[in-house]
Formats: sequence, structure tokens, C-alpha cells
Amino acid sequence: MLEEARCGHCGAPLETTPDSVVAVCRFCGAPSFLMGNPAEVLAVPTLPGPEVARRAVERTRSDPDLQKRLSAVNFATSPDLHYLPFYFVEGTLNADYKAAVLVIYTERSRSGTQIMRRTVRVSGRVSLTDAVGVLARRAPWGLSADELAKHFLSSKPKPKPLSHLAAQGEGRFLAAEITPERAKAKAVKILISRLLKRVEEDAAAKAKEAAGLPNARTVVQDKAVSYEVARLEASRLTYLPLWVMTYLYDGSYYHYYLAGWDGRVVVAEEPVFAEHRRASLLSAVSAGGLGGMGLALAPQDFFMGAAVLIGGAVLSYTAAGNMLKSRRVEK
Amino acid sequence: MMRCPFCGADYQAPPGRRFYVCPYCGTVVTEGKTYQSVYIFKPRTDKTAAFRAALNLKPMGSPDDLPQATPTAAELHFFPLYLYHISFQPLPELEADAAALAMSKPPVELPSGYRFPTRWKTPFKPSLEKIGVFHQPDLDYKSAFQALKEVAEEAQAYAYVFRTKVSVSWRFEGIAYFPVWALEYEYRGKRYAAAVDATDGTVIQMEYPLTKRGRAQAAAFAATTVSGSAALGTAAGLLWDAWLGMLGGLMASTGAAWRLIKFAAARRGRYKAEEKL
Repeated sequence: MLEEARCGHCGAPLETTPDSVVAVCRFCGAPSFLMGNPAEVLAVPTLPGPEVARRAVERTRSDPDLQKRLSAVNFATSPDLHYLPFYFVEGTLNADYKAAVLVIYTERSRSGTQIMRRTVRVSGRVSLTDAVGVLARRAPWGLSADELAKHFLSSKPKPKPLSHLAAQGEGRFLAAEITPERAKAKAVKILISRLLKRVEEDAAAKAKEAAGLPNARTVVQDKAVSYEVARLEASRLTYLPLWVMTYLYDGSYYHYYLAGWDGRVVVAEEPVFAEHRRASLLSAVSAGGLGGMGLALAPQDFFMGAAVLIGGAVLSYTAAGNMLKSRRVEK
Repeated sequence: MMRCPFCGADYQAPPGRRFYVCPYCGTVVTEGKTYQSVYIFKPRTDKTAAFRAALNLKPMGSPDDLPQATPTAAELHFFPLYLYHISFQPLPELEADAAALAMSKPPVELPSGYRFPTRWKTPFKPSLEKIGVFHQPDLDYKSAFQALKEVAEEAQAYAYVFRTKVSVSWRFEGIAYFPVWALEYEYRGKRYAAAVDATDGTVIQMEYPLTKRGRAQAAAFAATTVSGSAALGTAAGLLWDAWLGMLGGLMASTGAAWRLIKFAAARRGRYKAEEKL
């Protein structure tokens, strides 16, 4: 599968497969364009490294947990820059659906409060226009890439042709490994799940309205959805700058992940402190109490009671896990 | 018994397999011949950095002086991965490369859903200098491919949008070695194991000594969770039945208590990597 391609900068052999879009030389770090026109590839310019480092320090100073412990925080190294390749896929999807929705409400009568249920059949049509950032790599990067793409979509920085940027020679460009078609396939999967969520919301709202019970709880029991994709477009390949800044807390390494264009921390890894463990303990206790309420409720309404009991047990179990963790992630 | 054609070492391997890997030099033999399509993900984290990553991790209940523990052993393990090129008809533009673990029981348990890279591997050339332990692939490449059904599902979801059905076909592309550090260290006369991804220095899993303080804290958490849940359950149950409320509080907190008590009663703590950042 190895093709003979060489780095345009230093002449070292490049490892590529037929669908590589951009390859980065392992020796000198220069990007080489193997497919298409370099001017077709976009990149978002980044702030300089020292400025990004300053933002990371600033964030630590304003972090409610870390600012009390500033003396134990050390920024060990200067940040590392990675350029991650993305396709931004925009799509419009329409769905026609039929659903059976369980509407749960309470009714007061002479004998006391009673929990009532009713099944309402609804149908409708919903439409979704949304954008998804798809990392153009086969190997997963992690949470920071997802958050970086979300931040790009909400802050809308202006990308420039990559050739403007590559000349700076800073940072590691990760090879783009998937085609826009494959990115669309990935995006469709995400868009469909968002569409289905919207279908559920719409069905629930319609059912409440039909039953005349705006404050009832609803459960979508059964739905038949047929959907179509009206439009699906992938952007040009766009490189986004992600800075990774390492800091030491009490001798242990943690990382900040920052968006290069505005220095925003998209993901922060932080130590778990005593106050977080206390908060987890409190939620475990509340969840346990909720479970207790569930069992007490069971003689009145068996299913509801059992659901609350099980829900409380699951929440409490999860909170116990959080008490034992040593690191946590802030978005 | 197999004899490696490159380094001459003899090694045990059950008959009837497609690929045989020499555990000493990594040479792959198939049908009596040396197999050529072998790649490697180069280890980028050395032994010292791997130990530093593990001993400085500070998981819950670990002693403050763990970074001063004595490293006793470090061995690089190469896990065999099978490489595939997957294509879809009639949508050739969806073609993809993917890699799957070729072992049914890896010596180090990897986080669930771990997806291996397929790129930035380099061709592997065996050498007589020992760099690590190479593991035998014990799955055949057809059953290992099952782990990649996600790739096919994605393509099918996409094809469905265009009201087409895709057929999945794949081509076996070779073997790649993925490096993992198996570490061992000593703390106050006892030995503990850790595993570190040698491509990026992530601690995959680690055993560590639990301090009395850490265990006592977990036990106190367990006691507080159970008694607090029972008290709160009683209060919430007052509307209907306070006794049932208390019983429910006890029941709902059993799982949490079990998790915390298991931690408090253990001799060793166990850390496992979760979400990748």
C-alpha cells in the first residue's frame, strides 16, 4: 500500500495511502499536498504560543477550584500546537413520524392523589438543519477534537487558505485521511440521531397538547419514522489549531486543550479535590433517598415506584464511582 | 515447535494457524514463508517517561511518595493488529482502512471501544537486537474483523439515506505491531504492575498501593451513603410509608456501598483509563 511520495521540503520519503490528502513529513514536519490543490485546503490561523500560554494561566487564576491552590500549580512546558483536519458537514433532514406517547399525570379525587396514564397517538413532520464537525482521521483523537469542532461552529472564526499558514512552519499538521464522502457518512449518523431526538420532543409536545395536559410527563413508547435527506454538503478540508498545555499540580501532570484562534480552553483536565468528593457523596445520598421514595411509592403505583427506585440506585452507584476518581474533565 | 527463519529461535505455537510470530524478533511466517506486509507503530515513549507517567498519576488513595517507588521491570509488548481495507459497493467513495486486535486475550486489558490507528505505521524490519516481546495472533482475520462492524454500520446508515443498500467487502492488508509498556515497580517491599501506551504515553491501567487513609475515607463514604440514603428515604417516605422509604433508601444505596466497600477492602487500588481527551 506504500506509494513513493517525497517531502517537497526536505526530500524524505512520505508514508501515504491513495486517499491521503495531506501528509506531514516525519523528519522536517512540512505538510505536503498529495491530492487536490493546496489552495483548496483551509486553516484557521492561531494566536502565538506565548499568548495561548497566557490564556491558560488566566483560566487557572479564574477557575473556582484551582485559584485557591495556585501555589501548587506549575506550568511545566510551553504549549504544543496540533492542526487537526475537519470537514464541516451541513445538512437538512426531514422526517414524517407516527408515535404512541404515554402521558402521565396526577389527578386529585376524594380518595387522594392518583397517578394516571393515558396513551395518545400523534403524527407530524419535523425538519432539522444543522452542522457537524467531522475529524478527517480514522484514528480517534478524543473529546478535545469534538469540543474544538463545536467551539468552531459557535464562534465562527474565518479560515484562510492553508498555503498562507504552512509557510509559518509551526505546529504539527495531522494527515487528513478520510474523503468528504466518508465525512458525510459519519455526519449523517449524527444528524439522524439529532433528528430522532427532535421527533421525540415534537411528539411529546403534541401529545401534551392533544391531552390538554401541559404539565404532564411523557414517555414516547413507540414511533415509526421515515426520513429523507434534503441537502448534505461538506465544507472544504479545514485545519483547526489545537494547543495542548501541560501543567503540574502537586507533582502530577494535567492538560488543558485550547482553541488556537481565541485561546479558549475547550477541555480542561483537573484534579479531583476534597470538595468534589463531598459533592459526589451528597449526590449519592440524595439519589439513595430518591430510591427510598420510590419504594415507598410502589404500593400506590408499582411501575413508577420501581422506576424511581432503580433510577436512584443507578445514580447512587455512579456517584460512588465519582468519589473514587482522581481526575475530572471540565468542558 | 517453530523455528524462526530470521533469528533462528525456536518457539512453541499451536499448529494450523495462518500466521506465526517469532516472540523474540517479530518475524512473521505464513505457509512456511516469511510474510512481508508487516508494519509497526513506533514507540515514542521511553521506559523512563512511561514510569514517570504511571507513578505521577496519583489515583485515589495512593501514597504521596509513590513517585519515589522503585522501578523493577519494564518490557515492551507488541500486540498484533490486523489491517483491512474496507470497500462498499455501489459507493466506492466510502472506502476505509481499519485495524483490529488480532488477539483474543491481550496480556493487558485495553479500554473498551479502543480504536487502533491505521496510519503513521512504518514498515517493520526484524532485528537481532531484542526490543520487546511480540505476541502471537490467535484470532483468524475473519473473526477479528467482527470488531470493526461499526465501520460497516456507518456506511449502511449513509447508504440508507440514498435508499441504496451497500455490500461490504474487505481485503486483508497485513499485520501491524502496537507497542505497550508492561511495567513493574516496588513500593515498600511489594510489587505492582502498570501498562502504558508506548505511542503516546497514556497510562492504560495500573495497580497501586492503597493507603490506610484512602481506604478509611472510602469506608466512611460508604457508611455515610447508606445511612444518609436511609434517613432521606425515611423522610421522603413520610408521605406514604416511612418504613418502606427507609428500606428503599437502603436498597438504592446498596450498589454504591458495595462499590465503595470493595475499594476500602482491597489491598491494591486499580486504575483504568477511561475517556480519551
